[in-house]
Amino acid sequence: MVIQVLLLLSVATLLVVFIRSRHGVRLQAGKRIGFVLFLIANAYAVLRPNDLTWIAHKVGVGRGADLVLYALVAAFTFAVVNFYLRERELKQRITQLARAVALREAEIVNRDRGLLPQSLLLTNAVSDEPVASSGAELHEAANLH
Amino acid sequence: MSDNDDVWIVIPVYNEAAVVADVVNHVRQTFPNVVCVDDGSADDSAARVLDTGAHLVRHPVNLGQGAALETGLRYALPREGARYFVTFDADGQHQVQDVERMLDVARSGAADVVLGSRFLGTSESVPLLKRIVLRTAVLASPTTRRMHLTDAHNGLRVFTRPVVERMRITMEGMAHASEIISQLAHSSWRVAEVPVTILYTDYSRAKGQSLINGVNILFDISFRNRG
Repeated sequence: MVIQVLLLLSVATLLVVFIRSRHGVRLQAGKRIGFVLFLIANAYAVLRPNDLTWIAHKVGVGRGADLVLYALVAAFTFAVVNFYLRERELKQRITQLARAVALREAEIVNRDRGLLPQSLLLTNAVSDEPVASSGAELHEAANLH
Repeated sequence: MSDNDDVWIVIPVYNEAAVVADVVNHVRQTFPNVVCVDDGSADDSAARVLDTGAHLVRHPVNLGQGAALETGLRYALPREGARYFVTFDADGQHQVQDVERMLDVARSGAADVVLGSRFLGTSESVPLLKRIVLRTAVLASPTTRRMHLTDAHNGLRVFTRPVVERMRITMEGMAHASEIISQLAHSSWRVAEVPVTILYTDYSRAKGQSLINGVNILFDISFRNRG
């Protein structure tokens, strides 16, 4: 039946598109357009149920309501995958943030415990801020620009 | 003792207050440089580590073992003279003698990465069910098969400096073991396996990850680096 091919194809393409490519402006815009189209299609289906049934018959589904259900399943799957990927990205950002905090704090704690040489904090890659050891010099440099 | 000044032992710690101090003190008899990464433990693991001579890094929240390993490696990397990096479990199931044998291989220049394997030597100590599942995991993975590895999920590893400089562990949870193997497979680093003994004590058995967690690992891995 046509509907089976359509549904399987839609699920497959959604998965490939959203798993393969990284989040970009284009993809995000595409998702939003898709969402709006989905809403419009739903509104149309509510207003003209007979048209929906006609389309359903064309693709080999008994009733228009069944067609809506199938579309809903596809949209739901897509939404879940989308949220999962979002959540993962967010989690990785939290990890990076927490790691930066932990390393910075450890540098101080272990120096106080006498495990690290005193000067290490100034040269270490963890601290990427300008070292304020010579504030006057920094100030001067800023004035030059 | 000074022979091992170029070695850093990275120990991820999560709710191991009962044993972590003993493990750390034992390791430090051979290896002076130890960094414990407390992964947001609810117990007083961090205080136990502070009583020892090990470096302590504390995650403000629980992030997972993979994240703890990565943090430990990032902490150890900039230390002066650090050339070899060892990942070691906090629950006391790994042997210091095994680390020394693995380091011998790394120091000889024969390999850039040395992985511990439960199955190269005698695997009697591994519980039967666990043995079957781990063996299946190795056979099911094309990567480990291609690399001729016998144990894909061993926590005992030795990395040389260039490897740690390039490698990034992004899987926060338990899927990092597979991620490390996969990164090694896609690199030109030489990987060697050395037989190690895992002590399955009642404590480590109770703490060890359940086999059902393998399902979660598979799921995480299949969505790796995407989205």
